[in-house]
Amino acid sequence: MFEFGIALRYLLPRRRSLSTALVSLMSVFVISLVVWLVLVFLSVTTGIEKNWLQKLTALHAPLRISPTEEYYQSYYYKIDSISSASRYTLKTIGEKAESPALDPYIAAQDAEIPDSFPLKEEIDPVKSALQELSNLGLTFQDYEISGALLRIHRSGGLVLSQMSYLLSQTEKNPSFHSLIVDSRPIVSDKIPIILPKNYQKNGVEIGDIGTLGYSSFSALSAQEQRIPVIISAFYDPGLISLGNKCIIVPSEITRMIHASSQTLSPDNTPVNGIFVWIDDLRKIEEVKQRILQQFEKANISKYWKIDTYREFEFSKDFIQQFQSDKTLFLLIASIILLVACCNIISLLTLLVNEKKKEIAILETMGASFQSIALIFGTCGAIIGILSCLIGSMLACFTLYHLDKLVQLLNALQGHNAFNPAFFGHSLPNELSITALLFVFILTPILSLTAGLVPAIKASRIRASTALRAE
Amino acid sequence: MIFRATNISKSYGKLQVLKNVSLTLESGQSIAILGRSGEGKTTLLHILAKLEEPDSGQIEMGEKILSKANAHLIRRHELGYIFQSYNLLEDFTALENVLMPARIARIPAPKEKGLKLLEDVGLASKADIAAKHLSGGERQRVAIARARCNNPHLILADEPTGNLDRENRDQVGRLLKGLQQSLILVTHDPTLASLCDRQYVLENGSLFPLARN
Repeated sequence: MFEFGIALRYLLPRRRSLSTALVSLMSVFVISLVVWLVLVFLSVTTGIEKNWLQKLTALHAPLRISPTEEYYQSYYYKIDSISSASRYTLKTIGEKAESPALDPYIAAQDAEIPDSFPLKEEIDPVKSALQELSNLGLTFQDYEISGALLRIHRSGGLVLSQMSYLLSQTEKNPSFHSLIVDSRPIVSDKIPIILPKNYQKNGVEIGDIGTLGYSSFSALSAQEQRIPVIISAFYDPGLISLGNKCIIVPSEITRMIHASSQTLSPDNTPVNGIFVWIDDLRKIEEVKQRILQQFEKANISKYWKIDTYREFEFSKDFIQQFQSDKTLFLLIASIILLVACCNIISLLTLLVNEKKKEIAILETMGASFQSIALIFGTCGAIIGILSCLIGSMLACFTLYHLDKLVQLLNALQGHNAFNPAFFGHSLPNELSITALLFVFILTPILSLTAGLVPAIKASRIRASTALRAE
Repeated sequence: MIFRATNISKSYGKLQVLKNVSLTLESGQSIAILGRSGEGKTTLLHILAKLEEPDSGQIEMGEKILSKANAHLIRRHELGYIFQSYNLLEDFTALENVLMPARIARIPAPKEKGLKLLEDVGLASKADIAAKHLSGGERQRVAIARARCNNPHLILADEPTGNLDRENRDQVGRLLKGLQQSLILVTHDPTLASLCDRQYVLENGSLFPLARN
């Protein structure tokens, strides 16, 4: 294609076209710089987002199914409170799943059902839900959250006490082991519990013993109950706001406390529900829709609320803010890129003015207006692609040496430039494919578009006039 | 008939440059158009190559009538143009210049073809030299080779020896005389004009055979 050959030739810097060469180099430099900036920023933020999501969804599954108000107001749920077979105690989802009878009420021995009681439905929302999840081939497990006072007995009679939230251990969580930062096999008759890693920093050790205290209410009094526990491991709570107060305990403990006293979730996380884990977080919405459809088919959708990690109370604002920041940066980057590409208009306009005679000569040889326009459009695209390549190489180099750059920033500031609590001990340095696609699609398009203005100007040059001017 | 221009008129404002100029050329024929500076010789050539629009008149190349839509195709395949000021692409080599019309027309342009054309004008040894480093005479010879690249039916030459010394004028004249194509030559030089089959004079916008003048 002769247009490409001529465009290449026009872009080679020449001594007698110093101004054009300088503008050309400036354009390439500015666009490369923007490409570099976009790639490094987006790669790092994408990596950070990935890490955060991994941490957010490691303890708390990426998809959560929790009972709706309709569930709590249903005959199915309430009937346990007046049934002797259920020991007049409301049941958790786990207990309901294990319960052999759909309706534990026995008219002959239980008190009469009050008039205000909801109507009985021949449907088991819990077992049906678990069955549907099982049919979809998903990994899931019910969970409970309770509250208790943790007391740890340290040597020298020292006692550490802390009001804590207890999360039932979810053995089916595929990421659970990645959360454990320290563990040791413990042989003890006490209940093993897993503490957040900040306890370890405060001197608590594996094997330390203590109690979990909670109040058990009777008709006339409240009595403190203590469950003896032993520290078996420490885990990384990640970014959950209450992570440092959340203890992982066997589900018998949460059920026991749940039966005695209702727990108010401080961050609005439902205290009882079902966690669902999936491998690919990008498919989260698809999985949610599939579950919804299945639940609707099974006529149990009114009993369940399905949330993804994007909707979790403790992470929603955080993720949305992060997305907003990324979108804002992308917008700013696009504007900077647009401005940088506008440089191409100046460059190519200069070039068109300089090459008027050659354009006319090409026309006398039969070059069409489209060919002339294509030459200068190609010039714009070449600058864009070249800048993309240079910017990408610089970005790869920067990402490869990111730790050194962070060290330099730390040294310049005299403290950590990136708080390890948020960003981890090292920034992610994997080149983001999405960012790469973004610059490799947007930059050539913008460059080509910028090249169109001078290209049209070039195609409108009248050979006769240009040749006479010579 | 290979080329016919009928009743070509052209004005710039109130100044009428061409008045009903008509011209017919058979295959292999050459004609020379003489005239003083400013008489409209270059304008006529530009119009004949459809680089400029006439106010009225029609130009035919064989069976085809030249229009805005097909002008570039006619220029690609059926016309060659030689300028007084050579008009080579300065940063391209002599060979690249010669083969440029073929590349524009998207027809095969092997190096051998370019070298043969340069050899015909005695410049095969300078094939890889940039046009800007060639002398005036050499540039004009490259321009002649370039005009022949796509083997057009007609070559338009606008004062091809205007910027050359005597020796180069003679050499270029011989090359033009030896062309197989039809030729319309605009020149001040009666000697060069005499090499053509017919001579015309452009005066006050009209074209007269030299004998009448």
